[in-house]
Amino acid sequence: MNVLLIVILVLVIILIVPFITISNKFNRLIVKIDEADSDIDVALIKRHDTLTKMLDVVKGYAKHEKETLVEIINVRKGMSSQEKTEAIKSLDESAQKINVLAESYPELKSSENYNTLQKSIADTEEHLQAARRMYNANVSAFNQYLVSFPASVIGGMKGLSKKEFLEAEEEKKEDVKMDL
Amino acid sequence: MEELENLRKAYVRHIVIGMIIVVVIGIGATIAFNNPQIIIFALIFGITIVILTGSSKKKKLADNYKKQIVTTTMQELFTDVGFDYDKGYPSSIISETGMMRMGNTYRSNDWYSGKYNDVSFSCSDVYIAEVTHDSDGDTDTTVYFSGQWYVFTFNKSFKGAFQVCEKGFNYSKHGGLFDKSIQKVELEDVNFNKEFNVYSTDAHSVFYVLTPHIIESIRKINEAIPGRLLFCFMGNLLHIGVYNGKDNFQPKVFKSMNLEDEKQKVRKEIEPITKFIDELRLDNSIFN
Repeated sequence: MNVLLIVILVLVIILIVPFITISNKFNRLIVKIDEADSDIDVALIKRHDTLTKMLDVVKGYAKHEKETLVEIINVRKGMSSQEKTEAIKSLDESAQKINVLAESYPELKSSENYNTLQKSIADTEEHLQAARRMYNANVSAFNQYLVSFPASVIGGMKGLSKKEFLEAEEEKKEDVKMDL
Repeated sequence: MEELENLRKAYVRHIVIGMIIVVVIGIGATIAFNNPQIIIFALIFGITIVILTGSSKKKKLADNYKKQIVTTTMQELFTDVGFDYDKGYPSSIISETGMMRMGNTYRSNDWYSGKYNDVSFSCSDVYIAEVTHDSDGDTDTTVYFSGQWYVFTFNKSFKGAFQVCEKGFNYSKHGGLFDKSIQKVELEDVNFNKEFNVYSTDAHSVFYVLTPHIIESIRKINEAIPGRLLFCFMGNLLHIGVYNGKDNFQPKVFKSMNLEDEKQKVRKEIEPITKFIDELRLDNSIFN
């Protein structure tokens, strides 16, 4: 009886210890992904705010121009990967439009305020790229772990599925450069 | 150059004549006392005396070499050159990075500084070791670091600090600036992860600073520069350690000197500075 109890106990330990270890690793990876996701939110909001300020400055120089109707998409925390990708694209387009608009006003381009904002935009873009790369690196680690054995079995038991990457546009994979 | 060559010849003469005298005395003593063990004692004792008596000549040669060759070559390549060959970094400069164990023996000399493409830098030879003595009186030396330590101004400011250590460097220490919240960061570049370990207090800063370009540059530098590389990004400074077991700017004693060859040798020794600045684009702001 005692021997049977010991065998059962050993078997339980053999099964439970890897389960806890693997489960904890999944939890750690998920926390890392969530942190990176939150970093993207912060970077997106900062980029949005800087672009809004920039647009205000441009509008100050071009009060009577119709072309100042540049729209800046609203961003919020907790957007899905798809929504984030779209928001990034939309903010990039807005930044381009503002730059084109500013081209018509040489005094604006040489103003200190405008240049400071340009630098700030370049910096927020770098932070956004960093957050995106960190998110994708963590998603990659998670997805790889999820398909490896025996983590795949425990991942299945926990109902985990592969996470989506945040796609980057080809040109954005290069380091940020801004011509001022 | 002629003065330098004369100093070299004087030192070589001292060594050669000293050795001949040591050997002659050793053989003479062995024959006189009819004891072959005497020659071993005579050689060890004699060589020590020759080296000690020649040390002032060697130092004079090394000092003149640094003044005439090293300084001139550096002034040709860099601006705002400063040097103090007898001094080095205080140990706190390195211990504050928290990059490695500091042992109980620290030496640093051949300090110099300057600017290249408007980027300020400084460099010094550094030796860090743990010397222990056991109960039998045997001495054991574990060298933690021996090579050059560089400090550059860095063109990005970020939160926290992080280290990039080439794998195989076994004396990393995560303390000092690096508290318990330090984490190992895996980047998206699999090959980079195979070559380097990255430790940080803030993973976002790692991805912010180590852009794909910087990652590629560090790998290129690693291929081009012999020795193990250590990087510490801290505040607006970048510390780089090159663990190659070498002491820079030492004249070759038993080979006649040629100005161009010597300058070329020095250029090769200070090449890492230009490589770091050029490859890591330390001279570039992200805003051109």
